[in-house]
Amino acid sequence: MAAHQEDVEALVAEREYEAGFVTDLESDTIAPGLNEDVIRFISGKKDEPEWMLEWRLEAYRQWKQMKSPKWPHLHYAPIDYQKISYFSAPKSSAGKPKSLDEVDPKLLETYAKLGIPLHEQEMLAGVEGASYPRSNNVAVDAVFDSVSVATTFKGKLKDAGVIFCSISEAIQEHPELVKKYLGSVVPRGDNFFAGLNAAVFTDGSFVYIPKGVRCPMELSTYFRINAENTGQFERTLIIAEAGSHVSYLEGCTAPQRDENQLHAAVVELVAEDDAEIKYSTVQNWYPGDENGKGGIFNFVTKRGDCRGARSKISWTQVETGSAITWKYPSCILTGDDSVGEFYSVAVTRGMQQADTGTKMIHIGRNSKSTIIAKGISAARGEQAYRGLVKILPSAANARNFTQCDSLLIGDKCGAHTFPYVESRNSTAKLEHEATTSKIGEDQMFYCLQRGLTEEDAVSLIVNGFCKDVFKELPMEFAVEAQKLLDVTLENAVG
Amino acid sequence: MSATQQIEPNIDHYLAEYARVERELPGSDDSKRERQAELRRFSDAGFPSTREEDWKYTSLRPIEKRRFEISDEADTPSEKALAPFLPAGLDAFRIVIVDGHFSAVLSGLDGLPPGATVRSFAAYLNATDGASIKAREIDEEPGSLTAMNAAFFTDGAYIEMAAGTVVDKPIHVLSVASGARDERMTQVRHRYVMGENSQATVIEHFVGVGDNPYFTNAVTEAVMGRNSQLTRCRVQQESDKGYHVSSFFAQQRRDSRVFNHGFDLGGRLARIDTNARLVDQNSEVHLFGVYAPTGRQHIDNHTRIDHATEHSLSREFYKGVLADYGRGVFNGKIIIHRDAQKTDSAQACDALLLSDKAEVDAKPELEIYADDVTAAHGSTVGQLDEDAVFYLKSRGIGEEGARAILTYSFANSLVNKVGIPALVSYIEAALLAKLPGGQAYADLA
Amino acid sequence: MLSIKNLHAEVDGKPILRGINLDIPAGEIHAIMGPNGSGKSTLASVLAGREEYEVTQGSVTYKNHKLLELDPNERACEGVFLGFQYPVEIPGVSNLYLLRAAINARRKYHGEPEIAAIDFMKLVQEKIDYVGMSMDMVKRGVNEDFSGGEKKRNEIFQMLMLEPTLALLDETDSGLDIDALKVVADGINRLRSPERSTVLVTHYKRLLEYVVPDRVHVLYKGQIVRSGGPELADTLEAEGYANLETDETAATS
Repeated sequence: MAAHQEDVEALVAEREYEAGFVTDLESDTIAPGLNEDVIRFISGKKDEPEWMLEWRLEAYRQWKQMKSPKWPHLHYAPIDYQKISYFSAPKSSAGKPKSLDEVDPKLLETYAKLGIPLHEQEMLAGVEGASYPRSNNVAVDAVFDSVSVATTFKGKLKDAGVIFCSISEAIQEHPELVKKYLGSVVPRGDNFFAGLNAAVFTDGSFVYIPKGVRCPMELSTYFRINAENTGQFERTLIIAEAGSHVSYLEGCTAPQRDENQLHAAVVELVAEDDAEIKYSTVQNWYPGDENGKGGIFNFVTKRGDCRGARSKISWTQVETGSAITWKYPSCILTGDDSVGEFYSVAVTRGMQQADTGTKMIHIGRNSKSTIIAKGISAARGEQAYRGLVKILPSAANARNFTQCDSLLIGDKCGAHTFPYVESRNSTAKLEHEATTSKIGEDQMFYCLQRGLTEEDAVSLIVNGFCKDVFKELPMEFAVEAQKLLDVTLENAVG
Repeated sequence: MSATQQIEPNIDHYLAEYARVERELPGSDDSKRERQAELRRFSDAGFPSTREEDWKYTSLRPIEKRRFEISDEADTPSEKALAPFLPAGLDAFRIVIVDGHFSAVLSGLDGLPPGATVRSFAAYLNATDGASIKAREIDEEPGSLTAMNAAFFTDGAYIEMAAGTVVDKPIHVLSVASGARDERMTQVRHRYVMGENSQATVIEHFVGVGDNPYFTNAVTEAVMGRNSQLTRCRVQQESDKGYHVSSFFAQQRRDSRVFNHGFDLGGRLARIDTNARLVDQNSEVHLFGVYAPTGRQHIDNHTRIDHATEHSLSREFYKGVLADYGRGVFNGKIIIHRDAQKTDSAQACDALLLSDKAEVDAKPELEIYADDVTAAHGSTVGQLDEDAVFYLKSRGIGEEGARAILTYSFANSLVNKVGIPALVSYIEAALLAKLPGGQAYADLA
Repeated sequence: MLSIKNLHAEVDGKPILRGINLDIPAGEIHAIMGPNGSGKSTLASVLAGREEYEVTQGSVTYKNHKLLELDPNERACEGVFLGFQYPVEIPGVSNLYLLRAAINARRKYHGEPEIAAIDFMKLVQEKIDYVGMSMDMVKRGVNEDFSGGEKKRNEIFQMLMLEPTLALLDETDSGLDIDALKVVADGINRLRSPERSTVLVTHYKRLLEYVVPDRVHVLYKGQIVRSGGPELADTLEAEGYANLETDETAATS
């Protein structure tokens, strides 16, 4: 069989969602609906202090005045926010397990299916003296539905002075830090979904790297939505003090369900002088079936503030999942000589839609930003790149380089580019490059004629297209991302 | 034209001027009729105005308000006046046109290989039955100024390469405006006819030597046969009193290649239109351009590439260096027609502003009507990198020298692409001579 | 080596090849010439296995295989190389990566181990010198931002690396200046050996001044209407394809 356009499309269309299993766990879920009592319930469940509850209620009052945005290039039926359950926790963790041994074995099975590396599973399972064969250890925080269930390597991190815990724990243990930074990058009233998150967020990760510390290992969070009709609203806060350095990875999956599920997360990053935060995401939420039934609505606000001079925030994302993605990881380049980066690969296939991109707001002198966005659309996937580069008058000598490339597979998919550039300083230097191309018979046949099999050819072409982004991912994640992309776009029968 | 139509007085001037010179223009009676039709096309349309999208940033008022005349004969400049325009060490065949007239004395065409014809366009028209003033192979030469040229042109270079002819030395086509008298116009037309499998390099050079205002209006036609290759280096060094308008039209058959290098250094006002039509598969065009308006110069480059059929390729890179009150315009239009599947096209334009008063309007314009194509474009406008300036200064190079190095390195890559060492040195020197700090750069090396 | 019997092929229901008969013994170079649209490129594509051409009749034997029954990648692994008329760009995939994947695919097919990195690089260094390409160029994406001439050079480089037993070069000489043409010709001549065969599809006699073919065939309206020695190319150059109508009737009668 030779390469025909339809074959390529078929290869892509047939792929099944591999993380689409449901874990049969007893969970503690409240009835759908949203009002101040629900927020009090969530806050009460988590034993939160009064100030936290007040913060949430104020967010909820603001959110009630807001409307969901209409400008994205996305089509979906209006969401009924009263039909969503805003809290679900695996029962076994309700009693706050003192040791990981108490973690439900089913949960550990879930990790295995998610492909969490073996030594981390051992750590999650609480195996004492588990050896770490790789020098580059990864500390994992796992958020299951709405609750953080386990964080590994706490001791080792503590020795370095690093705080890595669930945000619920941080609210209890480090209230002064949470009070100072929560909502300082993404205010409660920032946008509709961020407002909702501020009111009802149930958990998430908290990272604090003290002055001058280079975090000794990669930090990682795995998110999974399990229960039916639940929303996941996690909130992540990462603070890198002057001269510190951290690399943070997040991975996401969800079971296969016919209903759409809502995920509205907020991520806030703060980098002080000379600090560096690298934030990588591999997002593989359930995308719905090929007819667009089910799937996660992924409405996420991610923003980093390069507050300090010479600070750097780098976003890298590989987005293959979700029915709808609405996401613009952004950098506010406040500090002089600060650097913002955005590297993205987004795949839409089946009936998936994505409106994604970034915002780079240049405020500091000599601030620099780089945007490399690669969009792959297959089947009836629709994708829009939306990027804003804004140079304020204070940002003398600011620089931006933007490259956005689209790869189309088949002729029923779409790619759209909306680059916005606003420059209010004449010394700024801006570059923009864009390409749109089609993976067709020609490239496929060329590879086949050189002796490659069809699977290898698709993998080669797609990975070549994404190379600029993959090389920015931490090693383990790059391999994972490449694999994910292969299975997303290839026939599983190899 | 209708009797009621108002004719601007300056158009009247050109109608009268045509009547004055028609008898002296080369070509048969048939070609005189063609010229008259072109004159009508010009007088009906008049000079282009800034209300036209294609002329939005360039006003021809300074040309329009003057009354230029055809030179009846050449004022042959002295060897000394011409010497600066002959690239040192350039081993080339040379054809020289002065004030629109072929100069046998200044030309040197000995040793051309068999199959290669290089001669005066006027002589070709007068000697060839059925010769046409416009190449029949070229679909269209739009614009009223090309019509003006077709009506008025007095001479130019006619180059024809028979099938399989390869000329290994460049052909230097030097068009000189003597500037000896006030308000003269040089209307020149060059035609390059490239036979199957032929290959040639032409240096199309425009220079001005005198002190009087003058107007050069040039048209070049390139008829590209199957699998032929033309490298055209257009070096524009009109005097600072010169007004320069020129158009290039290439019509490309199957497997043909055009490499066009443009260097716009001179002229008070210059407008250059570069057009390539890829009408047959596997044809390929590369357009490279460097423009450097300084003082109060205005330089406008418009390019248009038509991909009319499948499997053709284009590459386009333009760089502008602007200083003082220099004004630059770049408009690069690429049209990928409906049948032009598998087109491969890439365009980039960069501009470097060396002064707050300099200004550039750079516009890539892509019109894509086919769905299976690769089209990339990029555009940058910026200043010198102050970090890089500081770096060089920290290595002991003076401020001026540091800026000159960075300025020149910006344009450098496109100058080197010319590939003829003597011409590269010549252009490098000419560019440095006019850019701020050029002397400092020369002293460093 | 290659034996084509009564080969008919069509695209979108339109017949292009209308009964090709051609034998190419091992060790020979055959040139196929003919006017536009005569089916030259179609023939090369059908032999390489391009699917938009449907074979309606006839058979092709290559070594001991029924060629038409093999997938395109199997044909490649069996030593069939197509030099593309329009080599495609594959951004982000380096030339070296593709070549290594190609060499290893071939080795895997024949049950051999993968090529060692050092041996591979030695091979690359040797071959790029032949074709006048730089290491920098072969590290770039496959044909990415290459000019037409550079793409054709790269095809020859790949051919030298893969050392095919049957090379089908589809207008590899088109769009080349005289220097690049010599490189292409040199590449073809280098592979000339008793166990290899080459088919040159060309528009221009110019190539045959540098690569002297054993046989020249004229393809016209989907059939081979005339065959001869290298001198046939000169006749065609002098007379053009005007007399082919009569040849065609002679061939079919």
